[in-house]
Amino acid sequence: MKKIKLSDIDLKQEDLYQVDEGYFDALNKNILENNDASIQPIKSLATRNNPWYLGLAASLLILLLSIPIFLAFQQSSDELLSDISNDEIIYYLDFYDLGEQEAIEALGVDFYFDETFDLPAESLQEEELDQLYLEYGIIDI
Amino acid sequence: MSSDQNIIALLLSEKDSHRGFAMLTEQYSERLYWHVRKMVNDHDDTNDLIQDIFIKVWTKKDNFRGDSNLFTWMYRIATNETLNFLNKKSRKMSVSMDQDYEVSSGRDVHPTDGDTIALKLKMAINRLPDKQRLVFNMRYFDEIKFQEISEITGTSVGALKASYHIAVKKIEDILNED
Repeated sequence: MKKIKLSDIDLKQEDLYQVDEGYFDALNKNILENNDASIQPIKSLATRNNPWYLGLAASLLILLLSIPIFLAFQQSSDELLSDISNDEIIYYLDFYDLGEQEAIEALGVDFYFDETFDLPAESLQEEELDQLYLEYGIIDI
Repeated sequence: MSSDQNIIALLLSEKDSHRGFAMLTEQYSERLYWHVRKMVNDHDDTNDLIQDIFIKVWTKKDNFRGDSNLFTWMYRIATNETLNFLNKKSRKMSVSMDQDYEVSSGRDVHPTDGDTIALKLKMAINRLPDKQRLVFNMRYFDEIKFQEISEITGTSVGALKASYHIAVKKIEDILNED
């Protein structure tokens, strides 16, 4: 029996493996569709490849925009009070019934009553006191 | 400008890269399908692999520097993906599945006198080791020159010629088995 030599065989790959008719047209279409679908996330990821200086520029812009806002909050209490009318302050004080000391503190008044201050009563003579009582209409108890 | 050069120019341009990719697909999808199919046998596996290969081609297109021709570059990507797939598949196979693999690869199918020579040849090719099968397919069916196969596989021409002749001998021995 004659030995089979590979060079005697005339077979193509299509003789060994079968594919459906029209498969390659569909294959091209599928490849392009699949690729389009896979490109979307790549595009979104591509933003990560933006140069570093774009990120820096965005940070500086945010910083510059925030400066006026920061300065507005730094306005002094005197300037803030000057924008409020006296009527509004009186209404506020009446409504909240602040104590004398709280009102002074709230208004920022820089004087206060010295609680240690004593009238020099002991330095007056009896007659001088009587004269004062008489003058101010005070009845001696 | 050759067709490949046109495709490369479009593919690497920002504006027309999609058109270039469509032309590339049109030009190479069928050839690459057969290249992969002859290695993995199964149509569905081949179909999946081809999709992956073209996505890889798209994502790696900027790496193409023109130091090899487009055909060689495409075949190299396809070959690497296919060999990776076969390695993973063989690792996943348990001992109990070995028998099924042999059936699908035709090792334990005994053709009768009525079977065609095509079936015998297919069985013989499937019995070759992966890399030997790769070289045989590229030379015998695709008629790619050894020099080009060398560029695709990164193997010397001498080693490829030796591998091919060993493969031919094995196949002829199988074809002549009783």
